Amino acid sequence: MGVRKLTSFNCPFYAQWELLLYSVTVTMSTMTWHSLAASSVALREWKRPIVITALLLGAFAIVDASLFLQTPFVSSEVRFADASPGGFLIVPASCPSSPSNSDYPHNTCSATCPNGLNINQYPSCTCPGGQVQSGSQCVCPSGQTWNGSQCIATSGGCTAQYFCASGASCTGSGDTLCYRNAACSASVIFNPCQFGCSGGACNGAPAPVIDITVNPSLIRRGETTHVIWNASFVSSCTVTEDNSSVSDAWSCSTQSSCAASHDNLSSALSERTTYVLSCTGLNGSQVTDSAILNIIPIFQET
Amino acid sequence: MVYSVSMRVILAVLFVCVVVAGSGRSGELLEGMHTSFERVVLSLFPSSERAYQYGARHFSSHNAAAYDPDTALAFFLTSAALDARHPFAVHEIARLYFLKGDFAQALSYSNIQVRYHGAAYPNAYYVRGLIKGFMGDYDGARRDYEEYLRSDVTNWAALNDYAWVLLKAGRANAAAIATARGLTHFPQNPWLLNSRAIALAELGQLREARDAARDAVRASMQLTEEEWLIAYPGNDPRVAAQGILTLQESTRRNLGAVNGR
Repeated sequence: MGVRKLTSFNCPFYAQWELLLYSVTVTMSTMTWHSLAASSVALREWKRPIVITALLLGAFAIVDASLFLQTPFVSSEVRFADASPGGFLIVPASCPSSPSNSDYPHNTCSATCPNGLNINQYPSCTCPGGQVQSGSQCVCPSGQTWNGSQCIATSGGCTAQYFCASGASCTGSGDTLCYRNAACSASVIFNPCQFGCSGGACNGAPAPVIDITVNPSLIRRGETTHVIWNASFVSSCTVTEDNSSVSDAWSCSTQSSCAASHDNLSSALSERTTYVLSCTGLNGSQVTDSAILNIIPIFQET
Repeated sequence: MVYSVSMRVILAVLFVCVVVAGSGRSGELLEGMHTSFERVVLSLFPSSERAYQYGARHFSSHNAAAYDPDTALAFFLTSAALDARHPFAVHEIARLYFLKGDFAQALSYSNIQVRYHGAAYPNAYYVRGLIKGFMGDYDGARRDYEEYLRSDVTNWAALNDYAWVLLKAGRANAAAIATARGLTHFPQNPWLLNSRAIALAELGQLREARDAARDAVRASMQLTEEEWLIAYPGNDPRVAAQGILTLQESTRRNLGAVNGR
């Protein structure tokens, strides 16, 4: 009886020695209990085994009744119904509270996809974006890859992508930006990338570099000077001055024209003048530089 | 003579065993001995997992003879004392305190479970949401239910309880959406139907609310004790009928209230 009861617990943690110990405990408990009762009556009144049996039955009945009359445990959930703002009665449940399927498996309260898909991953139980079912998962059919929202063709074994190559043939490595589609057909996007190609994209323009000088920077009143200016990685430049008596101004408006070295002769100057070079870089930034021309002072003895 | 006495005693014992076994109460009698045996084994060979398994046996709605929340709690506390990082011992302690109505204790243990095992076992969040809901912290409960529902998107009880705390927070529209989501997979679930009827009634959609309330009454009348125990694991199987009555009375009152509007 003890063994049958034990196996009905379906507990995997009982080792053989526990089974044996349990059997011994039950047997000894039973025998000790009955032996004590027997020793008090039967050993003295051994001719009356019916009395012994009756006494034992009585003891069992008392224990039995006490077990039978135990009050059921009424938890906080059993009679709980909460009132909504409108006075209706809401009844919460607690199905997923049991851990590790030790009591009722909590997944009995969750839906499962009839087709075996993982419903937590695919709540609609259908594969999205052209995917097909493979076990509990969805995958793209052979020859296609998942681009994040749908399966796209990878016929020819190619994945659509931009890459850096050399020349119009889009082979090897170089500064040409190319694009290869899923059908493995490549085409030139930029040839070459002006500032090189890396990581499947043209590199951005470097920061502009500009310089302006006046030569000579010290003249006598009424003389002229050379205004020399250079600019790299710029799309346009202007040179202006702050002398109200002259109107010197030069400019360039293309990357190539600005990249050349400029040497402009100033007007005749009679006072200190500042020349300012202002450029817009290919990367969109604004930069300025300046050069100052000074006039040799005239000293008069008094 | 000694032989003769022994034989009589053995015969008497056998007779008593047969009578007791035939009375149908042998399970309870053996259960007491079994529990004593568990205590002896645990004293001789302390083990967190063994204590947990013993506790789980006394906390199972499947085993009415063994069901005893106090004994289960003692075993789970022993399990946690032997290994504070046992994956479920603290979780079960929180559940037991919750079922006993000691929500403060339940919450403190639930917080520990979430901290150490929430990522691996998201139903720690569910239990904490339940406890917070019973304590009136509906916003905290909402966050925990949302966390749990990320890993179990179709769980009807989680969706129903989520709707409960949303309704308590005055967010009937969100509650209606949550219950609709659950009813997609469990169209005859009386708890979901009841909560949906309430959400719709709160939104003033009385016609739809009446239909849902009527369906809820009908579904609750067909509820079995086995189904109720699945919805409320860890409860004494002997109180399943009372639990069903609570739901049936609630659905009937709600139908009456909707009809009265």
